[in-house]
This record gives sequence, structure tokens and C-alpha cells, in this order.
Amino acid sequence: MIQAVTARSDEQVLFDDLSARTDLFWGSMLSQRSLTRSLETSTALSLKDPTVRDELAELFNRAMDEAFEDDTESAFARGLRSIILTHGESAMDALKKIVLSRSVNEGVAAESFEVLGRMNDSMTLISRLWILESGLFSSSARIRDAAGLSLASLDDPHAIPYVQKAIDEEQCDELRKDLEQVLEQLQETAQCH
Amino acid sequence: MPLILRTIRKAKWYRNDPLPWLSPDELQADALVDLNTKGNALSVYLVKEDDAEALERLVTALAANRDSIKELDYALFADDILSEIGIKISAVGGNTPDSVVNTWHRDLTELSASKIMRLADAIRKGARIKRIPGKRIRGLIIDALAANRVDRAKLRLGPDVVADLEGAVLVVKDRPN
Repeated sequence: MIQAVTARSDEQVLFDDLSARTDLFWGSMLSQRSLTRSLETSTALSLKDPTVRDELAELFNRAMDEAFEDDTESAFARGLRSIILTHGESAMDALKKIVLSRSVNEGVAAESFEVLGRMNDSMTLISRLWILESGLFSSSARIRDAAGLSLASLDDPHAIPYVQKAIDEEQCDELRKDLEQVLEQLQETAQCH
Repeated sequence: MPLILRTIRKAKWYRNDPLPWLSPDELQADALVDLNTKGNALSVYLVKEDDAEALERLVTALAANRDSIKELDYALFADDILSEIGIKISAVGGNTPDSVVNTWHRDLTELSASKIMRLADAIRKGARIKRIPGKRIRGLIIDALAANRVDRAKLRLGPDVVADLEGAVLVVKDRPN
């Protein structure tokens, strides 16, 4: 339901596609920035694999004690990548529930977004894009920034309409400018394709 | 006037992030992680004001000293802030893959918690906070490799990333001047 966005350019089509994203996020995002609240009460993301969910929950708990260094990959990042590569979409479903919830620690969520942006795994690309595009509308500026950076890292023009919408809504001037840089990069990439 | 550069994560230093629990003249506590000391010293680099070339070289060296290619955020502030706070500065060699840049490294020493707090506040109020996007960082590292400004043996990037960069270096070298 999100695949056709970049194939068509007019705004009406964009919003048709956003509406067609029947998952719980987009319906609420278009009316208000209440992503995390709606996720908390939704049953749309059923967790099919309790083992993966527990594994991820444990990883996120351990991450609370880890100091993330900018120059070295964290144990959390290595663990998250390993879980995603092992469990694929089951892991992504569980991860959505965690990173897009209101109670997530924003520093850990931002670190997880960096992993999603840096992974080279075609099997989970659509889900990773989905999470990062959704993260652009988080109530946390740090998470929105991490989402923008990771979408720049993926460099997939699919994210263009979402980044554009995030720019339109962004209240923080500094973050808006950074998102504009991301948009510029994605548009350049789209022109090269 | 020399400037001091410290790498940070920009999103923790937003000056107009409307956090409901944080008053406008305060800094979120996580920003202090970016001023993490070791042995009560803080690693920084000196760069001349208005020397864009040196700044770019410094940014490239710092970016090449990480295990992945990604954006680099930094705060740049006048060195007189240090004397105002009473912070000592010592010349200690850096450990980037660029030996020239390493001579620009300094340690801010004998730091107390209150000095770090005052430094953080000064950065929040007066530093230039910048971001170099990941794609630009990649280009800078490729140029530095092509010009042999960085020691390949000291790169911490994975072998696949280095191979990708070296491929791009060959393209740069083949480009007509």
C-alpha cells in the first residue's frame, strides 16, 4: 500500500496513498500527531512471535545501561541487527510496537533508527522504511531527527512525500533545516534513477 | 582567534525544541553525554577561525576515525570561553588517521562537574552547531584518500566500506583536472 508513492507525483495521489496505508499510524497522523498514543491502544500490530518480542524487549532494557558512542557501533546496534536478520518481518512487527510507543526511551529509539538506516537487507527494506517514515512524526525531536538521518542513509526516494510532510509540520527550526537537507538529497537521488 | 571543535549529537542541543518539561533557558541532561570526560579531561580540536579548509580537513579526519560513514555533528566555539570558565587546555596528540589534524588536538583538563555544566551552557548559548550530511562525509573521505591525507592503516571502517571508498578514489583519480 505504500509502494506507488514515488511512481506518481501529484499531491492528491500522495494523500490517497497515505490514506491507503490502512495501518493505525497514518489515519491518526493525518489528523493529529498522536502516533504513539494510538499505537498504545491498537491491536493492529499483533505480535506473532513472543520469542522475538521478548528478545527485543530484553535488548531494549539492556540498552538503558549502555552509553552510545558516536564513533563505535554499540552492542545494542549489533544485537538489533542480528535479531532482524534472524527473524525478518516478525522482528520488524515487534520492533514497530516498541520504537513507536510513547514509552520508548528516545535515545534508544534513535539508536535503533540508525541501525534501520544502515542495514543492507532487502527482505526488511519496506518495513524499515515504514518505521522510519513513521518516526518522522514522533513527538520527540530526537526521534524525528534520527528518522530523517536514517532515511538519508537509506537514500530511498520513496520517503520523499513523508519527509516533505514532516518539513511542513516541523516546529523546530534547526530540525526543519536538517530535514530539508535530507529532502534535497532524496530528490537528487530520485533524479538519478 | 582560534576556535574549539567538539563533536556532539545535534538533536540534543536544539535551541528551540519545544520539550514540555524543559524551560527555554535549560539544556536537556542527555546533552552532557556529549561532554563525556575521561580522567576529568575532554577531547577537543583547535582550528583557526575562518579557515574553512582546515575545518573541512578536521571534520574529514574525525569522520574517518569512526567505524561507519555517517553524518558528523559538531559544536564550534571561541576559545575565550575556556578562560572565562577557568578551564585549562593541554596539547595532547590526537588519534585520527590524519597526522596533521592530530597536532590540532587538545585536552581540556582538570574539569570539575560545575565547569562542565558551565561549558555546556556556553555551548548552548553561543556555539555554532553544524551538521555535515553522511553523503558529504563520504565525499570528503574519498577526497582525503585520493590525496593521501589519511593513513589507510588507521581507518576503522569495515573492509567492505573501505573497498567501496577505494573504488570511488580510483574514479576521482581518473577524473581529468
